[in-house]
Amino acid sequence: MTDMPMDIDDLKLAWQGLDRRLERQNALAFQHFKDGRVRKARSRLRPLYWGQMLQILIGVLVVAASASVWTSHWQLLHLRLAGFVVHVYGVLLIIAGGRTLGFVSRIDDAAPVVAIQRQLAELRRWYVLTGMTIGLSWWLLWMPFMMVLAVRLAGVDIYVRAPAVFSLGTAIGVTGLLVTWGLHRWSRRPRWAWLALDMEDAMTGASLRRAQAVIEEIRQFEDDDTVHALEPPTA
Amino acid sequence: MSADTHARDEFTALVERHRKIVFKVANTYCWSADDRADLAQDILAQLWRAYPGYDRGRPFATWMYRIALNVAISWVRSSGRRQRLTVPLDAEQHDAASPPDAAADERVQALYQVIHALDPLSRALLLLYLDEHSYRDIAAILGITETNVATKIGRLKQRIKQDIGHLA
Repeated sequence: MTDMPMDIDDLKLAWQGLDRRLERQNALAFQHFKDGRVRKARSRLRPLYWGQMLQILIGVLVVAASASVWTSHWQLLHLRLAGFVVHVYGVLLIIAGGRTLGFVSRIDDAAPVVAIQRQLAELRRWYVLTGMTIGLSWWLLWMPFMMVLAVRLAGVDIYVRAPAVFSLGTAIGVTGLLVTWGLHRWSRRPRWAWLALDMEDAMTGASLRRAQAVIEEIRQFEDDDTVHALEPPTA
Repeated sequence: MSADTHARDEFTALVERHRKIVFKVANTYCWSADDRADLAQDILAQLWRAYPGYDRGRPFATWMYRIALNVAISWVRSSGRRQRLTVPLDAEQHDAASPPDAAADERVQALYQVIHALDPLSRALLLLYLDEHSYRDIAAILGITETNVATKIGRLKQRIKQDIGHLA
């Protein structure tokens, strides 16, 4: 390269030159559009929308199944408790799905860029957090869930018929949750920083970290309100 | 003529008048011709999808810029494409640039160098600035204050001066 001083006006010049060339290159894409050959736009959030609808449906089924168990076995404390816990879980599934759909419905593609990007990043963070909560809670919920399912489908009370299975299942769940928590705490030591990162990635698919980084990037972009002496552009 | 055909014709005429916006945004966020064509198609499709909600009392260009930039930024942030965008600068990747002379070539390289180093929101700001939009327009499109626009452009100018002020 030559030893040529350069400033933003040179970049403008380069930009205008590129502009002309790109128009020629992109003429074909636009012709496709005019010919009606452009692919049909689908909302990028459509898979999320249907995923949440499915979650709500599952929540309703869980509530229905668990409610029928704890109401019809009111006299048995263990079934009442198991049914009630699963019932609450079903309600939380419905609430989480509904809130995510609320986030999705508020997104307006034509809103200012920063507002949309913030909404998308917050949606992503919420989605990842609820996903993580719903997933981790299974360590404790799977046994009550099995109890409800066994009563509902086969009329079998696991707690009475196979108390060892119940105890073992509960122990596995509690141990699994404690080990997960302990590993997470242990990995937060500075020398294991890489492990903490790997564990977080494993639990949240790195999505939460990325969503938080994007939110922070947007916050910094919005926060720069210091007055700066500048000449206005010509337009 | 059906209402749908009428809307399509009206939309096509408006987009044709402002089609450069699509190409400029695609060029700011993609390096290869294939990616640019892909993103341009995504933007056009998204514009058509959003068109029924367009408020005719507001400038079409502002509406178009908002949608195009949102599509492009989300496109870049999807992990696979982000990876592709973080590969080192390579003349072959920048096939948009085939300038006729050395000085123009140098300017284009410098331009890509600057764009490449910016986060997606700052790229949007630079694009609007290079396109000579007023601070008010930039603020309306991005959704930040005019003061913030001025501050950021001041910083960008300084950064450009430092980074490429004297290419050797």
